[in-house]
Amino acid sequence: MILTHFQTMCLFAFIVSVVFAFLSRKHLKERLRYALYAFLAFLLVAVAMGWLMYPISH
Amino acid sequence: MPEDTPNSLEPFEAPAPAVQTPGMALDPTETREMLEPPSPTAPDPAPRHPNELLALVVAIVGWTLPGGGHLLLRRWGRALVAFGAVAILAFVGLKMRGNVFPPRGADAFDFLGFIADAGAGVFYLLAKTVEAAGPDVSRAAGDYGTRLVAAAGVLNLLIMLDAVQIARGEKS
Repeated sequence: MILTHFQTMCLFAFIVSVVFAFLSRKHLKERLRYALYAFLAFLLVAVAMGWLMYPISH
Repeated sequence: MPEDTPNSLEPFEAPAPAVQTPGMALDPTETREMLEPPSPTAPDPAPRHPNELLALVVAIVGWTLPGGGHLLLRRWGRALVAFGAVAILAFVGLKMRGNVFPPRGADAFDFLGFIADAGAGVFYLLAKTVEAAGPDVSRAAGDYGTRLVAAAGVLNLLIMLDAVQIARGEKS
């Protein structure tokens, strides 16, 4: 099985966000909101860190 | 010379003693509060009796089978999500031919990797069955797979701790 780096990161972010939401929130609406927030935060931080490290690799 | 220096020549006034001497009488209201039991109308904190044996069983089952601890506690939703999440992460990581660290590693990082991987419980034991070809970290995908397997293990440890907290009555 071959996944790209971005696909792997999305899979990781999605699953961890869902688990965090289920462990830390009780109601479905809160869980959905928290999972979406955590997922977007994972992606945003990862992309931002990638761009911050971009000058180091060039 | 400033007045608050230690070399000031002004007489030193000792502060009043804060400790009660044996001869001093107690305040009657304080004495009454100490002797009388709390009134029945006052809110009594709920007694907690953590079931340590149940927590131990939940920890072992939760580590061995992801979501098993929540299953014992009849938390069906969390059990299902826990098993699905750990299974997907471990399965994809192994199929990407990620590295699974053996118990006796060469250095401390290998040992940490083993701790993380072993957290996945049954998926760690089934690693060879899921991907018979073994790890291949010469490609980037294998490296990503290594991280996914470790993430599955650490996530399962977190889920197990959640189940233990519920079993001990520390979390609803």
